[in-house]
Amino acid sequence: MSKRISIGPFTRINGLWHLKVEVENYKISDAWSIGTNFRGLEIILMGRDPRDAPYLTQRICGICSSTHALTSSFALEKAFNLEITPNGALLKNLIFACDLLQSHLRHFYFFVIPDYVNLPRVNPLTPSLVFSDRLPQGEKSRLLKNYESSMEITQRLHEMLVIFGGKAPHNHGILVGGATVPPDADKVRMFQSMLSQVESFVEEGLLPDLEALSSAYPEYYEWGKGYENLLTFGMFPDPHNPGELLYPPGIIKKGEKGPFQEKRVNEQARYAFYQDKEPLKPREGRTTPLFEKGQPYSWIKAPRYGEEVFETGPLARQVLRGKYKGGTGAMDRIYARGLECHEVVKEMDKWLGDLEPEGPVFTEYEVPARGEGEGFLDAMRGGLMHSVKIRNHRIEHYQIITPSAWNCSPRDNNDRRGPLEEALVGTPLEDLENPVEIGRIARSFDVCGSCAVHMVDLKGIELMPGRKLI
Amino acid sequence: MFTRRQFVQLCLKGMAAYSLSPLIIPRLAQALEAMGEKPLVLYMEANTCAGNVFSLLNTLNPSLRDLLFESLDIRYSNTLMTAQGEKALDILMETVEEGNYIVMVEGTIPTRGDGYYGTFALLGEKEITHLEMIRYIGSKAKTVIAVGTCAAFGGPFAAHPNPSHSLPVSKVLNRKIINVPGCPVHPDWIVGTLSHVILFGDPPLGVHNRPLLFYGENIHERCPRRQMYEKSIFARHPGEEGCLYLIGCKGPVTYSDCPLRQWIGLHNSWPVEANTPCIGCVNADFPDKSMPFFQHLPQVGVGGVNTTAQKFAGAAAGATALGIGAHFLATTFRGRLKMKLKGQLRSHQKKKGEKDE
Repeated sequence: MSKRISIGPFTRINGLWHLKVEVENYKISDAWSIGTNFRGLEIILMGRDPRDAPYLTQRICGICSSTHALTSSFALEKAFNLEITPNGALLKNLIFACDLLQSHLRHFYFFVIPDYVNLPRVNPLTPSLVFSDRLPQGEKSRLLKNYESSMEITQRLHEMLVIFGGKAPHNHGILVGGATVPPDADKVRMFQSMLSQVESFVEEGLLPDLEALSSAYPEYYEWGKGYENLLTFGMFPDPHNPGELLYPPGIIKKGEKGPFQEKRVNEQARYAFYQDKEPLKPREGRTTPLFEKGQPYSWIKAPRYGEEVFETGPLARQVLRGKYKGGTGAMDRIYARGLECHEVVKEMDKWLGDLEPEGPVFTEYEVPARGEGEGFLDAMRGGLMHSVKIRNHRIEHYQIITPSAWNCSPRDNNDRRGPLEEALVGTPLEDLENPVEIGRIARSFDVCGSCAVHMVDLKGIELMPGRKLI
Repeated sequence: MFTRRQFVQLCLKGMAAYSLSPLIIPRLAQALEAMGEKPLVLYMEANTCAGNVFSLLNTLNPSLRDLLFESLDIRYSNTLMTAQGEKALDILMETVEEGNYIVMVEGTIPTRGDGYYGTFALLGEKEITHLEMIRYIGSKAKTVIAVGTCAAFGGPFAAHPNPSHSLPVSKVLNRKIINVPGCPVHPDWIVGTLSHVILFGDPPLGVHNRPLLFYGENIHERCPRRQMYEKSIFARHPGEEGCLYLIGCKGPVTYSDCPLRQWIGLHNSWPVEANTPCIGCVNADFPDKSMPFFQHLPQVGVGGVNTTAQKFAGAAAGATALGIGAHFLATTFRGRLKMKLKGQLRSHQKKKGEKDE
């Protein structure tokens, strides 16, 4: 007996995304990850002032905006040969870290929990799929209380971000050249007091909830494994050693750690709605959108590492740095994300202490006539790449590969499924009318539909009259 | 029961100028009790970054908890709702049939390829586009609120050359739309507008159908750094304290209450306080007419490309352009500031060298 289940809209993710699975004898036999939107932000970026890229690229994503600003400024600083001050780098990391915690916490409580715990019958939280609660009553009520507190804590994280970022989402504080708010005692004190609220929530709320959830659902350590290949670009630029990262890059192939080589990254588009189907390096990434019925099924291209399929995210960072020693199942992804929250809160406290109250935060520079830079940095959801080429002080070419493009990619040119698709295959479903297992595994990747869609084009664009690509 | 007038005063005056007063929530509850049921709300996400819904989640007074559990019956929200796929669509359709709902839309509506450059739902093998969905839901709604600059005016994804041929909600629906722009929207702007709609009906709207409550005042006029502008204390680069006019502040052509309200609920800061220019994100022509973001106003370009003030005044149309024209040709380049500012501009340009050519 075979059955197709289409889930679109796939709710409780950031943005929109669809998923189709095929079920045979109560087991998922195939899956298709479908990016639903085309936007072309990279096309929009062409011909514009490179200094604007950190602000404009933030608009890709509402939940992880600061990471685009950070990676964009990182790539441009390379292109400009610009070294920023330790204060500038610390403030950028602090802004990004607030957003990371906000994103991880909202993911756990708003997106993951409703798949495992029946929420109160209040719209839009009214349970819809039928499943029985496995958590003991005491733990469930603590978790529901924390669900409500997480609303307040994540709000507070954005308030912290605003202290140094001016506004959230889409902050103004991360720029090419550094940060913009000198850290005076008043601001640091305010930031620190809110940080301690977050820290106690992570320690007394998130970690026990994570423990309760993972021990009640041990089978999810086995389910949702996929290719068991993990990839990270490294995270947090080192404020005191320019060019270095605090969390190193690397790959883990079936448990074997190895170095990450930027040149092996490529994008394939046989199953995506674009004209150019051959694998392309990001630097020459080029895609003309072409919607056609037939073989292609997604607006997301398939990024690959050499010829191999890799997934990316907090699990890769935690395993590579030896902080987490588990498998690559769905619960491992969720668990590693929670552990990272705890670690990052501690780091932030250290960074606050490293700030020099009188030190400069911004480095002045001139936009060079020509330049090229690639920024490989991890976002909340994994490896993010911004690649920029400048000619005549203007952006000539811009290309972005997001973590959700890696994780939610469609099949590649060798017909191999993307990581999320592969992770679903083989999962047993108990009740075909209430396939809760699908959401539990898919959401462990922290899908970001907004980020996944982007794309670039150098051909076939009609420029506005009088507008030249100088 | 409090009156519309009191509500408006709470939004505009005194302490409440900085916050939607916590007084509103108990009274909102009273008013809703009189209505007998919570108002139905559908929150739709089209081609968006979802930044506006995350901004809405940042609401402090009233809190998200109050909104979800006490005040509103939010039937559909891609970000929060438990149901998924067909069950989510069933809820949506049932609510539409029930009628009497408020729909909030964020994101632009892609129209390229009959709308297939942006699909909303998957019914078996059939895709439903945002275009079809927004037309269907919007035409039957009691009130349509376009949340964020994308839904209100097009925003970043509809910027030149608009690769997905995206349109704002007002261009795909033939009816009154309340535009609540911002990139993202401030939580108070959206919660305040929604409360007004529920309690007193549509709020008074100004240019571009924006509620006057929040978009009635010019940023430059209310800017805490206005004195620095008058005294010609200009920042030379981001991160320097001073008036940010010379490094691209679009405050003089932007109408919102950011300088008073600030971000978010605790009123910590706003872009100018963070020593960066306002980029005019609530404007109808954001981002094209705001770019380059760090270029001062008379040289702001069309489609992000440099041009002279004169050319710009000739090429631009609409209220924002009028604003630029009126403000800079009349105020800035006339009167006592003229000489000071011109000197500043000259040395600034010299410093930047050939870049501005």
